[in-house]
Amino acid sequence: MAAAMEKAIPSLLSEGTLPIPGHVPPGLVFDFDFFAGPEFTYQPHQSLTTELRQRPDIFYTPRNGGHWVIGRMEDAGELVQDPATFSSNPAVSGGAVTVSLFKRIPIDQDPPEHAEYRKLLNSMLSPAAVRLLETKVEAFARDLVASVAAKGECEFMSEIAKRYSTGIFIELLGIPLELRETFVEWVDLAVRTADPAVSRQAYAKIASLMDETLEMRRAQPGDDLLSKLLTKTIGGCPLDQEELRGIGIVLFVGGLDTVVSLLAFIIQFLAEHPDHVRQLRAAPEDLPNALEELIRRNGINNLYRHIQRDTCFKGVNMKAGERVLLLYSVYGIDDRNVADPLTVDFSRPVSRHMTFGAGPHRCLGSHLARLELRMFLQEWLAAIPEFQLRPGPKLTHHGGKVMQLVSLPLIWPVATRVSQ
Amino acid sequence: MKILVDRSICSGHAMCALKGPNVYKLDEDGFNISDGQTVPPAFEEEARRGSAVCPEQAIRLTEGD
Repeated sequence: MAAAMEKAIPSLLSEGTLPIPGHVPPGLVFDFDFFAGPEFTYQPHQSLTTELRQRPDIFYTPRNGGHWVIGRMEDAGELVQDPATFSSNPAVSGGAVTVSLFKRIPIDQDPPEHAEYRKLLNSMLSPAAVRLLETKVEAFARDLVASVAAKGECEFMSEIAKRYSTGIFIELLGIPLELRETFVEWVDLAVRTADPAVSRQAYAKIASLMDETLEMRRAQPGDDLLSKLLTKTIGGCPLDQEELRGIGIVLFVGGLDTVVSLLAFIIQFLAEHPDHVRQLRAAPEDLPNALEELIRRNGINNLYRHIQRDTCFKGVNMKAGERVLLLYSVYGIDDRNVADPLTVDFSRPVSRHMTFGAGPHRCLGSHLARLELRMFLQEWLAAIPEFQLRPGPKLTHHGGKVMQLVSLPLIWPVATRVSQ
Repeated sequence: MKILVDRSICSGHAMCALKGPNVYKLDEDGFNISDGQTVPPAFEEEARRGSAVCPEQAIRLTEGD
């Protein structure tokens, strides 16, 4: 596959359809399409870690409108600490999907504005706030696992992963559960398409649903996240409609799709590694540490930063208005950060990663995500101790900002009941 | 051993407290508030792991004392 890609580069560039800015040295230009490239659509972690070792640490691709790629964890850690150069606001690079529709708060914000909003939101999804949800999430996981356990098979994406995180999230926002499938579809369109028009349309639908739901909460507050949001203030003033909508959309998009991806990658890994399953079952008290190792190995997100001023970062000249792509999906398997990175080893003393991002924009929902994953594995392994991939075609993936399995068919033995 | 936390880059991952539950204290939002604390000798290994796991590398430990 690598050879085929190398061959594709000269033809891609000679077509002249993908312009490369004059200040970009030819030696730093590679064909890298994070939405549809072959390294993203089949075994992405294995393929990417091999490919990135053969590339310069920072390189440029003309794909997807043209952008820089940050291949290494340490560079990413440094970059996210410099928002004055590398902004989170897509308006800086002009071509963003969401510009002029609304501002996704706090994702699209920079300091110092970002910090105020973030502080307010941190308290709603802090480790302590999330701990209060433990019993609820545990029961939700148990019921969902029970819905398939006796069948001996399932298509994990549609029957479990999407229902799980969406169900929990809908409950947190106090939105009726019958809207679950509609939500799944909108989020897929909003975050998984490279076509800005389609994405914009999906975001608009989500925005109008947020407006309606907020209206209902104003009339009749509950104990959900949106009702809590309505009581919050910034500088003594309540949040205005645009801010509330922006935050609601971020909770919505951030909370649904990401846990689906991470959970499915982890279950795929376990389905292919029965020995790891046995280790988890033998030491349930060590699940939080073991889970970190699985999270390290199975990152999912790739996100842009937008360059606000000409800069020389790590010896590479970048211009204002350009974009850099952070590959949070693979920084946990950077071989400069960890030995034998693709191997999941529960006895590693630490599993350092950036699966939940880094810097001031660290995933707001990371504590909730960890709780959801931990409760799910606990319940799944108790009910379905042995499981494997259904033999069949190779598993394929969606690339993009949230990498995700297209489908994950599983089978497991079911105990035959002795009838009396 | 003493703990030095760069609070300007701590982002509330709370991973230090997972690896070093006897060493690192968090505020109510999950940010490290152990800057300047001394690590009891029995927990030095925990302290090292909690520092190593930090995605931001916000925790430094001074050896000795």
